[in-house]
Amino acid sequence: MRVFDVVLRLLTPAIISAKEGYRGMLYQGVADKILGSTVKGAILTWGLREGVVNVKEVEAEALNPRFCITPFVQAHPSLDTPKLYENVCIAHSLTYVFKEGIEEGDRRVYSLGVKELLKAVRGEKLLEANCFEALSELIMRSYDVLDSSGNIIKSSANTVRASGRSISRLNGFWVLSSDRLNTGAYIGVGIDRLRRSSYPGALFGYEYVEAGTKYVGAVACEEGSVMCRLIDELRRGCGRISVGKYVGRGYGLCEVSVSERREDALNVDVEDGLTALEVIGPTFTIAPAGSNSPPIPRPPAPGDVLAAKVGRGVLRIKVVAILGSASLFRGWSLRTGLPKLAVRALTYGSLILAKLDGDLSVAKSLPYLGIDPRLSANGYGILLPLSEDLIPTAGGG
Amino acid sequence: MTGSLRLGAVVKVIGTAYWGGPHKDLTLGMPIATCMHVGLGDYVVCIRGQYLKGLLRRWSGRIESLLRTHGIIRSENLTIKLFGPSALEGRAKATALPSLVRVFDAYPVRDLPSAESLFRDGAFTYLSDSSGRVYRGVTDVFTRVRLCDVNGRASEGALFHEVRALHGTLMYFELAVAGLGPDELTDAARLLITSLAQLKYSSPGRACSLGDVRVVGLEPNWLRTDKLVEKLLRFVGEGGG
Repeated sequence: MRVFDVVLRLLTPAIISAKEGYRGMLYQGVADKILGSTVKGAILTWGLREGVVNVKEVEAEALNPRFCITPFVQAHPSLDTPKLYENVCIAHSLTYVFKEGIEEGDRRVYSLGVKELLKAVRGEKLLEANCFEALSELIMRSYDVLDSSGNIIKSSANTVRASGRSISRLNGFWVLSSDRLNTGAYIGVGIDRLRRSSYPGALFGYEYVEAGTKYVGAVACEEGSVMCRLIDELRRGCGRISVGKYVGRGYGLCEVSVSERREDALNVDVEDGLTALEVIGPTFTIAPAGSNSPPIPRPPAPGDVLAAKVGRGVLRIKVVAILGSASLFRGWSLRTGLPKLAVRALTYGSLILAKLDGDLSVAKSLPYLGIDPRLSANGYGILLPLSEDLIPTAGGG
Repeated sequence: MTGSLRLGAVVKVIGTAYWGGPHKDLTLGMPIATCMHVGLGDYVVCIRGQYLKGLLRRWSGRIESLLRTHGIIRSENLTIKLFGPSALEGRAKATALPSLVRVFDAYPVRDLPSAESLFRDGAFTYLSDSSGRVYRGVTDVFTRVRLCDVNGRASEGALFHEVRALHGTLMYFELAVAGLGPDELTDAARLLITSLAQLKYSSPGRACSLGDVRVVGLEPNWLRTDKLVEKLLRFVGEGGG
């Protein structure tokens, strides 16, 4: 497997709608994260348009993917060389920010502490209830920020969750990069073709992300695969792909820069026993054939066992508790001309507290290769093991 | 075997021109459309690509049959092929394929040589250019008043302001077509250049905005070997028009 860091810089505004009916008539955009399948589709379409690949090759790659793609996360505008997991990430569900910035400019992100949570739970019988008991103890602590004289500058009562939002590492601190995201509204009205005038009650709007926004993600692909060829081509020619809706009207044009990573695994310590896995790509599971549950995608629940395979290694992830929430993910396939299957999955930043069993080296590849290649080819099932928190605990002044 | 086409053109504002944008300003009333230009890092006067594409689609649909009658183009249903099935059928279809034409936002450029060099620099480089060839544009505020439909006089409390681009402003944009065979690509070039030429005779903006269109570049080069394309290019500016 070859792993590439891919940075997208929007040259024109991008519309990637996530929700209907936002603010009455707006289609809310996804803004600070782009699902991997959207970028995958944009790269394949670019390949077709430029004649790098043909329709048969794209069909084969779509049906039998030999690559994995992570979601693309918005990077802070002042980062020159953004890299996923190094200086850009998604805030997990134990993170928070103060409503008003302590510092001027960007708001720093703090965590209740993944390590503290794991320490509190370890040794006890692994039950979901124990995890929540440990969590509530963490929450009840005070996280006031004091100045050098011991006066409270910021009260922990004035905090808000940062879970699922894009964060960037600036000058040694993790800050909310989603605060620096500019969005606007594309307002349109349906036109009655007979009268050539606006149609009553047909006003609509799409939320767009402003040009200049940078997104960063990673693509892992097998040598010789169609995706590998396309990425190599993009790397050589500084290609420009179009992402999202209304690309024919000039929306969503991105400048792509690609650099290859030396290793396809992150240098993370994964211990036997209880570990926290952060959901980077929305994660779902399907009940195995023969079980009583219907074979409909659903978010993992305590008691489920997820199996991750890389080569011959198999890692079993026994879910103990979930800290986070689920969301519905939908899409449209240009290949089939049909809507994709709507999937209810654990959303970005959720934490899966799980007991790992089997080949632990597989866990190091989860941030790029995900739990299942069929899911991770669409940006689903990408997990980041967190034996230690990226983000500092408690708000230091 | 399919190929692609890239065309660069400049709209020269005649008189003053106004294109509506999403931003409303309480003090100015109707400011001109502005877009974030990545190279300049600021909001710049622009004509949205969707606006230009709509004009092109309308003219293309109107003149296609005429061009076919005179043997200038041979391909059938070229407008539908280029702009998507929803172009002429009255409403968008859920199964409609994306159109083969992509039209990008137009930004002010200093002069025609700047536009030509931007085209030579490569596809869509003007969207991120910071060399000074693309600039913020010159605008002015015009105070106007709405007239009453009944008595033909100024309505009470209907004073408003418009921010308009000034005479001579050059707005440069590029469009790209992909996924057509060589014959269809030649036909597409003929149709699109002719449709661009029609913009001279219509209003590429709101409220009496007029513009003159000039093509500043066409790729691939083999399209220029076609005599009709060459003739049309001469008519729409490039090559001495």
